[in-house]
This record gives sequence, structure tokens and C-alpha cells, in this order.
Amino acid sequence: MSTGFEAQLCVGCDPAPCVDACPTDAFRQRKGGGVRVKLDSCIRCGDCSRACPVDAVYMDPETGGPVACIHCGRCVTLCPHDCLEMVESVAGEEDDK
Amino acid sequence: MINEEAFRVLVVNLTEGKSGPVRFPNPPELLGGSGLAAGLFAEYGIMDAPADHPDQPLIFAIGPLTAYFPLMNKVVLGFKSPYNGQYAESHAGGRLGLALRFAGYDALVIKGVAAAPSCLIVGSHTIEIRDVHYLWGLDVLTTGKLLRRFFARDPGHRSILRIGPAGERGVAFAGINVDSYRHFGRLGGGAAMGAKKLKGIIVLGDGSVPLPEGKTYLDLFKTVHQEVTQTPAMKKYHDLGTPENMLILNELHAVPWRNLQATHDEGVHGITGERFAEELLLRKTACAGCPVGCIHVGLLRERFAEQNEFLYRQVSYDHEPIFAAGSMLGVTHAGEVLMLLEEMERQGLDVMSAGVALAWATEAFERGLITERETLSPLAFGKVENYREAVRHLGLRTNDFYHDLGKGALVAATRYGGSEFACVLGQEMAGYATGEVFFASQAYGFRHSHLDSAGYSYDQKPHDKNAEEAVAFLIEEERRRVQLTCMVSCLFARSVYSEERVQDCLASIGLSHLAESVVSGSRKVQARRWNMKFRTGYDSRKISIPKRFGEISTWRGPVDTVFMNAVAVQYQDAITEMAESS
Repeated sequence: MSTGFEAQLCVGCDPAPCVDACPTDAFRQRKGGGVRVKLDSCIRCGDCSRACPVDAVYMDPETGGPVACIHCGRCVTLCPHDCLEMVESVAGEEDDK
Repeated sequence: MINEEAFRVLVVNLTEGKSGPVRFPNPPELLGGSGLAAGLFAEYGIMDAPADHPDQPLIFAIGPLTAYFPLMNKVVLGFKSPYNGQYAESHAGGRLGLALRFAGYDALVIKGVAAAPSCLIVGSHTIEIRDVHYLWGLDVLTTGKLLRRFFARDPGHRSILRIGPAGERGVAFAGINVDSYRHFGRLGGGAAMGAKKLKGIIVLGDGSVPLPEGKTYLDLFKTVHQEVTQTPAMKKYHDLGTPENMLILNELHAVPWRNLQATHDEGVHGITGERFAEELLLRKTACAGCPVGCIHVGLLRERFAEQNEFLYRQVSYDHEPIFAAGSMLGVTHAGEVLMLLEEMERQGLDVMSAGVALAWATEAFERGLITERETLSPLAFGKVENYREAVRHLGLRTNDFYHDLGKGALVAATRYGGSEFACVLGQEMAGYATGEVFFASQAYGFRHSHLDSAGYSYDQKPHDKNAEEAVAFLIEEERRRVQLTCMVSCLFARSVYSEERVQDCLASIGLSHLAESVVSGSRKVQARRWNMKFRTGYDSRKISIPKRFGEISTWRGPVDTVFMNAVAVQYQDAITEMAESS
């Protein structure tokens, strides 16, 4: 067994292919990489999931909707092995200036 | 099977996003591998433009025997070196040779610069330049993990090349990782790839290759296979592997220790091939098409937190990496050597150059030529954690000092002082302090590699210090090796693949014209490579052997600088004559 359930981590693309693929603007580019998701606008087409190069957009079989990381950082403190960290994106800093 | 009329070459233009197969003429003259790469560089390379010029090609070439015989599956990378600006070759194995053959190409030529960080994917029915900007900045291991998701259906027939941060940032000795455990290590292929915004290359060996009919080929294959698996020479490569050399060379007083301040040290017992096998060897593996299996993979087990939290990684080791991350840096614990090798791997650095450059920096630090302001980490022989930090700085080019060191130890020494103890022979030295002939041969040799012409082997044989004889040996040994790297053979199989055997192999697959021209062709390729090296800036008068190499003693006693200089002078004359003959 190499692992059990495996988290598919969003790598924070900029530009993000899932945003490009989304036909309704439910996925929008986040400054410095990654996305913001507005589920109200989502039509459950799954294009975002297919577009993701690292398989990090999961289509929930119950709701049919996408589950994507929005880089809120809550998981960071929960990881027992400190595998995760939040770092400032250089691109984000530049965009915010 | 290759065609004697023309090679089939895929030319990719990253700038235009267009590619196409071309027929490239004259196999009997070029043979393949080294000769094909040189021929393609003459056609597509720009002799007087810098290595990072967008139109400089990266050329991956296989040979006429690739996929047909055991250990004939290496790949020659021909390129303009970011390290010295000259035409260069680097060789690697892994699955790449077979994958290229089964993709249907004798060579892959990559020109131009991609608009965004990209991965080139090539198969028998596939050519794609895929935007992978999200991988830029990631280390070699993480990049490999993500690239393995591409075309995951048939992973055993697929080869994956990638670079790390060092290649992206133009470190002059950044390497290219091939299938995790093999490398186009030397002379900066990784930086050449990074300049093209090429983070990865995937070759899909998803086509088929026809085999010759009749019994001749099958019988010969069986004979070669038996010899390869049963000769004592090959047993050595499989058993302890090349690290077997560490103890033997140390006894001979021929291991470079602590920036070549010594050639023998009792600390060797912590880093011998035997010690690695007993304590760390996890498994062995092989390049595709090799029944020997010389790749030794060690288990790096590292505690990362309280309560016995461990992580583990698989790190390949060989004699050269153990010298570079071990003896040269005074590191005498096998596990610590693996730890440093893993960090160098992550950054995508050539381990030999990285280790030797840091060894120079350590001595310069001890002598006060540089301070912690430059090194950011207090370098000291044997202090592995400090080296680990320094390796990161070297890969990331953190400050001016590491930027300079990333151009080579001699470049940094020119600025900070200490060039007399920079262990550079054309490039950072290989792990043999065997004496005069090796030092001269690496300093002036074509690839500046110990594998060019076996000077280290000449040093170890009885000889009477006759420079003329030594140079004649180097020139003929180079030709013999060129003959093999045109096929493209693993040089470990050199005792099995005699001249006659290579000719028989070629004839058995229907390439009788190539068989007839092996000797004359290899001589022409040897001269052609030298000619191209001169045309791209090689000037032997600018090369000197640093003072340190004349200050050491081996089992023969002190190095004889008069003999070394005589070999150097006569070797330069012979090389110049060859280059002018082409």
C-alpha cells in the first residue's frame, strides 16, 4: 500500500486552466494563482475537472458539483506531518501592489 | 530498423509550435549516436552564437543497434554547453533509448523557446507541446510525480525527462533527470533545456520495431546476452556496482578527499560500496534493454519530527556521486551522502560539479577568502547540514556568490581567489586522483569526462612515463569509445562489444554498409566532434591544470608535473591535428 485516501493538491496555477474551461465564470482567477469558486453559477458540466492538470478539482458524485481548493489555509494546521504550508506568492504580491 | 539511406529525425520548433519528421542523410558516414548528434548540430546548430540562443538545438540521438542488442540503449545528447559555450555531449540511459526507437525516431532535435513553461510529448502518433507553467519552480522529484500522471496507461514504455530549479535558473552545471535514477549530468544540459522553457520531455515508446528474419540475428543475440550476463566485469557492476572502486582507489591513494587535499583517508570505511550495500541498499534496477542492472538504489530514512516520525526516499548512488557528496566534502557516513545526493537531485544539479564546487568553497571559506556573508551557511568539511543548505542556495542562485559558483568553481575562484585549489579539469574533476595522464586527459578531453579516453586506467597500468605512448593510447581509446557511443552502447559493455562484434551485430540486422564503415566512420566522427568543439570556441591554450593537481601523491609517489605537462602538450597537438583533418 503506498497510501490510503490521497489529497489531490491544487498547485495554484496562474493562469488556471479550470478558469479558462469554465463556461459560466463560476471559476474565476485568484490573484497570485488558484481560483475563487461561485457554486451558484455552476452548471455541473465538469469541464473544470477535466481541465485541471493535477486532478485537483473533484466532482462530487452526490451533488454533481466541483470541489476545489480555494487556498483558505485551514488544512495547514490540521496536517500532522507539516506537509502543508501557506506561503506568500510573489505573483500575488506584485498583483496587489 | 534503421535505414542505410537516411535517419528519421523529428525536428520540433518550440517557438512556432510546429514539428515534423525529416530524412537526414548519410548513415554510413555518421553511424548514429555521437556521429548523428554531431551531424545534426552541424546542420541545425549555430557555431558562433551563445548556448542560450533560441535557435540552438538540443539533440537526442540513438544508434543503429539501439533496441536490437543488450546494453545498446543509451542516448547521446548533443548541445552547446552553457558551462563552456562549446559543442558538448552528455550521455544517459533509463528508458529513453528504447522509447525513442519505439516512437520511430533515430533522433529528436528541439529548437526554439516555448512561450510558456512546457512539456514536450513525443510518441509514434503523438507530438504535443503542453503548457505546464504550474510546474515551473518545482523540484525534480515533485515534477516527476506530476509528470507521471501524463499518459499513465503504459508507464513501462514511457521515458520522462525533467529539470529542477537549477536548470530553470541557468546554473551552468544543471543536469537533466532521466526516469528518476539516470541523468544527462554534465556540462549543463539542464540549463540548455531551461533556456528553452522546457520543464519536461516525455517520450512514448508506443510503436513497434520489426526484427530481422532468420537465425543469424537470434543466435548472435543469444551469444551477446550470455557474455554480458556471465563476464566477471559485468558481475562487478551488478554486485557492489561502481562504488566498489572507493575502497580500492583509497588503498591506491587515488581518492580525492576534502578538495583534493589528500588522496587517502581511513574515513573511507563509512562510504565504501560494501558499507552502502550492507546498510542502505534497497534494490537494484536497470536501464531498459539491459540484463545487468548496475543501478543501485539506497534507502534514505530520515527522522523529521519527535515521536519517531520518519520519512523515506529512494536515492541512486554510484562511485562518482559518493566521491562528490562524500570524500570530496569530507562526509564519511553513507546515510549523509544519500541525504546530500537527494538534495542535489531535487535542485537538478550535476552532483559531480556541485560537490567539487562546494569543496572549493569550503577551502576558500577556511582560508578566509570568503565569509558567511557569501556562503550563507558556515561551510566545513563533514558538516552535512551546512552543505544541504548550500546546495539549495546553489540551485536557487540565492545571492551573487552562489550565482558565480553556479558558473563553475573556477569562475568563482577568479573573482574571490583560490584558483590554484579549484579542482577543475575543463569542468569540475571526476573521482579519480590516479595521476598525470588522467588529469591531462580530463582537462583537455572532448567531454572533459573520465569516460572520454580512460586516462585513469592508463595511470593504473605499468608504464614508463612516455608522453608519446600515453597520448597514442588516449587517442585510440577515444576512437574505440566513439565507435561504441555511435551505436549507442553503454561503456560498461566495452569488453563485450569489440570492433568485430559491433560489425557482426550491424550485419546481423541487415546494415552491412554500416558494418563495413565502422572503423573509418568512427575515426571521422572523432575528428568531426573535435572540429566542432574548436569551431565553437575550444582553445586549449586557455586551459591549465590547477596547482593542486601537482601537489598530491598517489601510490606511485608525488605527481610528476614534468610528465603531466608533456602529456598535456602532446595531447593538445594531437587533438588540434585531428580537428584540422575534418
